[in-house]
Amino acid sequence: MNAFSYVRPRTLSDGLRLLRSGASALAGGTDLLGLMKDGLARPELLVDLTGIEGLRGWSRAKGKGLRIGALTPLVELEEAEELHRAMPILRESLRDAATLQLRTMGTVGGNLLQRNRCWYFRDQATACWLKGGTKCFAVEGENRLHAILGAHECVAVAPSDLVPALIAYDAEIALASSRGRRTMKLADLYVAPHGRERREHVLRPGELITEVRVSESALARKGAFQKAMERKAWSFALVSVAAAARIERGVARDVRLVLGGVAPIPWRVVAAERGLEGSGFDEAACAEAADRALQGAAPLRDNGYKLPLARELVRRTLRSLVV
Amino acid sequence: MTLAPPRPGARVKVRGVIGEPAPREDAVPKVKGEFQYASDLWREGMLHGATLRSPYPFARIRKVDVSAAAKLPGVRAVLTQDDVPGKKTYGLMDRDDQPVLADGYVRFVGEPVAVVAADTIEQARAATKAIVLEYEVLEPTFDPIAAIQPSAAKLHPKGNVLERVRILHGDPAAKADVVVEGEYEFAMQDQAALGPEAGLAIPREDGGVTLHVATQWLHEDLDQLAPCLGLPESKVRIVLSGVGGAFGAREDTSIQIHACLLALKTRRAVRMTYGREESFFGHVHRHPARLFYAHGATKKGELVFVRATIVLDGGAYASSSSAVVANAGSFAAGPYRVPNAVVDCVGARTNNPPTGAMRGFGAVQSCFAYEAQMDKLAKACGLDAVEIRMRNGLVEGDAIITSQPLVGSAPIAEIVRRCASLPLPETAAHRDQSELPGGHANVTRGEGVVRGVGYAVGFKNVCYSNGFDDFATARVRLFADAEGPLARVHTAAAEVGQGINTVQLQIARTELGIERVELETADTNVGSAGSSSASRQTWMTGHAVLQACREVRQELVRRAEREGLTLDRTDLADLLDRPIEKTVTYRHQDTEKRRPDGQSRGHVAFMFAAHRAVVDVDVETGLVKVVQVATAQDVGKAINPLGVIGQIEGGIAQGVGLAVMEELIVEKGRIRNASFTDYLIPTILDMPPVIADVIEHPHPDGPYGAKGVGEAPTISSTAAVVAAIRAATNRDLERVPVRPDDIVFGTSSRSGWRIAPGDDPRRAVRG
Repeated sequence: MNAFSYVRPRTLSDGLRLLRSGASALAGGTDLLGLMKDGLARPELLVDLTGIEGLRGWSRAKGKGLRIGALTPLVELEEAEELHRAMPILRESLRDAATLQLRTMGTVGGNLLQRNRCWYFRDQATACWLKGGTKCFAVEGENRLHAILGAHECVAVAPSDLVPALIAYDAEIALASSRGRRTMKLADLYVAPHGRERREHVLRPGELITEVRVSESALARKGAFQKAMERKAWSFALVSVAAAARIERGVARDVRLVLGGVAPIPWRVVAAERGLEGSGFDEAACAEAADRALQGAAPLRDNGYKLPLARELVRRTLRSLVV
Repeated sequence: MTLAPPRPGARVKVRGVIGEPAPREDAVPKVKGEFQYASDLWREGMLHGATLRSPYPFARIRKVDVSAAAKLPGVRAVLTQDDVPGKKTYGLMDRDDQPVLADGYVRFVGEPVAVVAADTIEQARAATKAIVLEYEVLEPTFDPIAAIQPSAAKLHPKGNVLERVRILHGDPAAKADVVVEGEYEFAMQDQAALGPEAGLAIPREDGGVTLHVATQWLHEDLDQLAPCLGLPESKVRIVLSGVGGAFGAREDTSIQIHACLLALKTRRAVRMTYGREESFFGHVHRHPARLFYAHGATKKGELVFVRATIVLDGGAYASSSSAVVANAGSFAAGPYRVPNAVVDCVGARTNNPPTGAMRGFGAVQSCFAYEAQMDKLAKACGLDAVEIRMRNGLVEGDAIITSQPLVGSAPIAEIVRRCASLPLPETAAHRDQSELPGGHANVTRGEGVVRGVGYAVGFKNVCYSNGFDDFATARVRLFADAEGPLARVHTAAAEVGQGINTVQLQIARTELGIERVELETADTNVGSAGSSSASRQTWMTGHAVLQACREVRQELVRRAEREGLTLDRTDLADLLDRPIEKTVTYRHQDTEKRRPDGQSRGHVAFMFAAHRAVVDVDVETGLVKVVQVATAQDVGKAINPLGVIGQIEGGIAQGVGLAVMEELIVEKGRIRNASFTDYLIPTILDMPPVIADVIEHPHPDGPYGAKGVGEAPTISSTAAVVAAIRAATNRDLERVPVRPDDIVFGTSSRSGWRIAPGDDPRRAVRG
């Protein structure tokens, strides 16, 4: 680990000012410290955000939807009963994420921005494309855990369990930097690394996620999340599926279907969503949506199993919304 | 020899004797985080050691320049091969095999090239990066079968064949009505001990050094260490520190020599502790293997012949490959009556990470293959898995394929029958959803889930074999203090989690008839106990403690007689105005060296276990949940029944892990998943309930009839789980661990080499 300076500002504006000059923001540290220990991140200045008031906790004001502060520990989202009633998919997606210890330290904002788990990327000795090298070693290497969809130069997969669940509820994020504030759809935060974009998201330098928002109308959806792992706990998703829909008198509206672990970005499948719009999530419709969800999949040498796994998981997750 | 324990003192019932379930003394401190592991060792003013390792699988070192590194702040020493004062090489079984620090060549990714001691660990690591090295990269060899062909490039002055064992038993050309064949692949498993390699070396005023270290065999470390340091053994003392799991990985030295070199050079205490990633590069693993098998039987399913060719990948250095190869060959036909056998087993040197000892030690690899073959044979003969094993199982007096007859063991048929009669779990329909395959999330509600049941039987030697001078020493001192008689037992047996400390206490209490017994810290101030491996410590150190206690007791009897007293009616303290101290070295019966045809009475005793695994497989997604493992194991005598169950459950956890998830991904010699994020071992949620039938069929030579326990649970549990997955999926599954794609697609795994089972793999043909 490189030597670094450390500051712990008390206000957001101080934090944003400190972040202007290429510093790294530190919240739970569960991803950043690992990257630093492995020599993959070498910040000269760490700005510890945990002293900043107002970015932790969540609220739901009547008719105004749900707001979750970016510094809220994951375990708080998982455990809050009121939140569980409002948006059960949060607990469903978090209870198998990492370990209780990591969920206690890890924050919502950090979860949204965690780096991928590709073992070539994480290996300090390998100059992979994403780290500025010339090639992706996973394409022709050990790629059991890699992408089957949507990859360009880099075939690492989006690792978060929470993100697909939030995207299925059309979550928005509020961003702040010393130059101003903006909001965007969470789904738009992510990019599949390609060309000059050797990164997984479009956060600007010095910018912070301050809040995640879910609208009141989205909260009316029913949601489901399923995650397939190689073991029963403490493991990243081989494939995860988040689905949500407003179901009125047996007919589905506002269908959302988002996959994790299959593509460099959270993989929302609009074509499958459209096919389900107005359906009753009957067996045939779910099976067809599952096929559509995997359209264009291009498995690598060792990850062909993800195709049937993802297809089956999509079908089952969709069905679980009605049975 | 009759081994009935003496009647304990007439007045008080002694607690904690043999046969009683005895909790470990370190259990509570470990759970509370109070136990001191080797990585917790600390001394005021100590330096920190770090290791520079090779980034290449095979290269010549053109130049090493440590001058810049040595000038960095806080750096106290930078050592390379030139700085090793004594013998430049070491090795568990071949002392001339592995360089202490790279000797002009590096042969695997992770080979130590230089070591540094500095005031802080950060300074030490920074200094390793400042060492200038120029390499000439050489063409590596990763395929073990390619490495042993006559045309292969030589990777080491000693050549690429680490060991070859050929076993000829009966008629090599025997013919059979029913023949089944198969090629099997066994991936690289890691011991995955939770405690990383760690130790603290403290220089002594007399020019010697004391090393506190987590190890399996103190005296073997000493024997390798002292010559490299250029010191007589009397100037080196090794003390066992808290061991966080071993499973074979601590049989080879890791930090031992390096830490002592640095301590002697700097005249300061030096601690070395590997991080998790470094640990994966810094210890040996289980041998991956390719196994080519043919089984012949009568139409009734009685075995006629077994032919097998086994190639084990030993990696860059020898470690214990020669013994692993001998074991894989010796046990290649399984615990069955096999009149005719040809087995050719070779250990190959490659540029992969070195492999060596791991629980089961060669017997695990062949068991996976021969048990798959037995199931194939059962199918071909129209028998079920239980019937074919009962029909062919060894009984007392039968010989294995090395012609050694079985003594003091329950018949295989009984072990299999008892295992098969243990209760089966409930059907999936009645179970909690979180119990189904695919993680805790409700990936399945039972759709696509098929249950499978599989059986396997395994066996292996207890203690060291083939003429090895295997012994263990115990010193027992009995004296009286204000509270009465107290015994102190001193051995060098390494408590690595297996429970030998509790066993020693139980034996001493039983033999001496007193409850106050304490253990001295294991170190090299007492004679060797041999290794905590080969399931041997209860037998070896157990025997030594037992005999030392009996000699103490004989002295008590003599003293009582001199006083005209009867021991049973005397307060022992009255006889202990002077302490009694006895030191005994126990040797097991001689074993024969292996003959060229592989035949010999090479082993002391065997242990046997049968496993039945029940799995639920989601055949559409390829996900597996092991639902239950039932086992019957002949342990001879359960000295600590609680410890026996602990060993059985722990061994099965490692076997289940190998069956469905544990694999070191080695790509071009480099381990890709050197972390517990990527190298998955079972969690408590993955661990199925274990039902164990502990059979006590006493061995005439074991202490109280006890045999070893620790390895048998690992040997056949993997094979049983894979058999169960085969039953659920109808796939061949010739490779472990079984991956989702193997289940979904039935992927087959071929080496690309054509080898007729039984043939010499050094003359293999591609294709």
